Amino acid sequence: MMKKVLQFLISFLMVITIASSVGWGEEASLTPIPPSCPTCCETMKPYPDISVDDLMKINLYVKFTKFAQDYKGIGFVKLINKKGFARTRDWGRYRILLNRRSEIFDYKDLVVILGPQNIKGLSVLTWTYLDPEKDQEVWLWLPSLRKVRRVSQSEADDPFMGSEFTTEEMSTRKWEDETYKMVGEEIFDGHVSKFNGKTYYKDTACYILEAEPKRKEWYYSKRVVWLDKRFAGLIFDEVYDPAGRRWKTFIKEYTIWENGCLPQIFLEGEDQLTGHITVIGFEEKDIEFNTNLKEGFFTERTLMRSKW
Amino acid sequence: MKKDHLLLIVSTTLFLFAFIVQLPVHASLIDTDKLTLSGFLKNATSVNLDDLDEFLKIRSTIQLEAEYRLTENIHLFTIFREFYDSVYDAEESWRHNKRNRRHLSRTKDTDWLRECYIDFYSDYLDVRIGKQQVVWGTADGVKILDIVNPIDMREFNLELTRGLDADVRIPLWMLKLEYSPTVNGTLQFLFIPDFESNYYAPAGTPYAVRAKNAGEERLDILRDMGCDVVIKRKKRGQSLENAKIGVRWLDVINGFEYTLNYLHGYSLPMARHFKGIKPFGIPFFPGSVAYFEDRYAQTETFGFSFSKALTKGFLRGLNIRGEFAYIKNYDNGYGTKDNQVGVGEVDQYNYVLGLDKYFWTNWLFSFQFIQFWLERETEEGYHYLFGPTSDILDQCETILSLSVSTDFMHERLKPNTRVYWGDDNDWQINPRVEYELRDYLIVTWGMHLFNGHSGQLFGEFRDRDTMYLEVKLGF
Repeated sequence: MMKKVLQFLISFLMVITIASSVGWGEEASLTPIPPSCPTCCETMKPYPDISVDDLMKINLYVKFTKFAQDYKGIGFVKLINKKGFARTRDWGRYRILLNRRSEIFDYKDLVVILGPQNIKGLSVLTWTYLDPEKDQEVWLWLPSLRKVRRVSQSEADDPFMGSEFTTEEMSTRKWEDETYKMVGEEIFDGHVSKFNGKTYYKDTACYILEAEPKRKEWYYSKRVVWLDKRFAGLIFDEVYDPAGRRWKTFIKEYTIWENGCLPQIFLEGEDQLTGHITVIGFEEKDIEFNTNLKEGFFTERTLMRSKW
Repeated sequence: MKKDHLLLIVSTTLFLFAFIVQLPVHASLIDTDKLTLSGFLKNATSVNLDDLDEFLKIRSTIQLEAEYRLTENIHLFTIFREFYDSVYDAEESWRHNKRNRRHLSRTKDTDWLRECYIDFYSDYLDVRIGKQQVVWGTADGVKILDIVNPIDMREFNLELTRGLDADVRIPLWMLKLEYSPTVNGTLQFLFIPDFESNYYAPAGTPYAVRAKNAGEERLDILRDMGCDVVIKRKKRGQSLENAKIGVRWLDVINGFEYTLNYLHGYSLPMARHFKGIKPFGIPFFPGSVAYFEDRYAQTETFGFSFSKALTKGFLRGLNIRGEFAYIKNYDNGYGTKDNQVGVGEVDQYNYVLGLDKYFWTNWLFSFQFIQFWLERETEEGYHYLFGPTSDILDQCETILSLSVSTDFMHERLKPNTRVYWGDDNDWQINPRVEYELRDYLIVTWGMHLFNGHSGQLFGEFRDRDTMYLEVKLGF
């Protein structure tokens, strides 16, 4: 009897040991690989038979550049109507990732409008909490008032700077806001940009997911999300309106740097119903990671440095 | 005159220096690693809605802004602005008064140099030295704590209702230090050896307040009696001993932002003191002279402001803000309606509470409850008088304001309305629509509508309902 009990215990321990070594338990599998140099980035990649929930966690990790300590980028936003009339906003973006060092904040973000002249200097400082139940803290620098103005977080369905991207899509959507379902794995046919005619991600192996908002009567009914199998970053997104019509599509281009960083360099959103498109672009040379930005930079004092 | 020339030389040299330094390196001088040049051309034209033939403003403005980044931590910045308001040449109603024309049709004195300063940045200390604006407080369209810089009220509060505070604030030469001993805590120190007061439209101009017009009429009566009028303006000297000093502590604790403020300075509107008629105290006597003195009282202001955006719970999305100022030793005239008999020293307690909330995705509603309290209502048996109208001032005056704004067409079309209501049932309603024709071309159309009786803040302009059109070309 004792021998049988002993055999059972040994077998049980062996099963546990083997199971943990092949990656049971999502915490172990989602552990990022530390950066290999001071300016390098962490990496967190999909593992075999990854769950849909973990895939979306990696996607958000990539989206908010959580692989880095901080981020700087200068880019543009173009708003183009069906007739081709375009308006452009130039902007700079700074972000510090605090999720590893703070028990309160996830990240802090500063967006500065560089042009055109009538809104030049407009800046938005955002603090995002780790607590998914808490909204962001937002401060605006308003050039026409020359002062800092506290505001509540924009409504999640409000278009970001008048674009096809909502506030939620740009910055406030959290993993907890949706439920996810795996649709399958497929080779992406590619998406032709209306802006530059370029075909993005042709013949790219992807995970296909369906995401549904937990909120009832929300501005979209579901999204079909295509994630690049190499790094689980969202490359194509189809948004369906409450009536179930295919409403908006988004394409997002990344470059994979040798140091492990994964900057997003091109985003295009198209309203399939109105034909209006939004393009957000960055030159690779204008993107930097791990430049040792200080948390003190993400305060009102920085907003008050603005001259416009 | 010499000062004007010196300023012109210094600022032009600074501006040209920025150009010259860049010339060999960059073909374009507009936006390089070191230099940014921008600006705008603007025309704003308004008519009197109660008399559509009467123009109130035909103002063309050019503004040039230059930033030169000497190093990553040292920046130079200058704004030049010039305007010409042709209404003082074109409009019969305003043309006849040459003095007003001289003062209001063009940029006066050295005001063409709007701002000119040098910045030094570091992780813990920022220093800004030069002509600049400093803003305190959280209120919109009303001045409670935002009292460091005076304001240009040649158009009453019309630009403030449009959120163009930066255009009407009068910049001052000063030293500003911002020291951050903690991540979110900042101590601001201001040393202001410059003095300027609020600028009010002179009598006989479109937006002269009632008290100005009434005061001028009373002086004219004296002149008609054969009495000379001498007004001595005791403007505080631009000197070290008369310097204003300001201190502000700002911190954010658990999302609650607060400031504690102190300003040792001077009241920005002046108080006119009657000093007597010489030699015999009666105006009819040949050679008699009436003496007045315009003074700016030394005041001590203690205040605080706060803001808190509710990020959780039932009231999520609501932003609560407020500010309070206790002004010690404020000079305020007293007497009967339209008849000031003296000036008394009285403390003021002013505050505003504001609530902001988005509804229906992108409709922003901002509500403000504003009160101005006097320490006491009377002085030597007379009521205190309300500066702009010379009417009786209640011990507590209440104003409510509501602003509603939204946008359409991918933020191309932006309607906005701000409404003020005074507790004597006077109103000001300011609807406007802004349309972005091109990236750099903005057209704004709007109105300012007033209601109430002539002794009230808004009612005094009830025959000055305005419609305006503004075209702004940025570059």
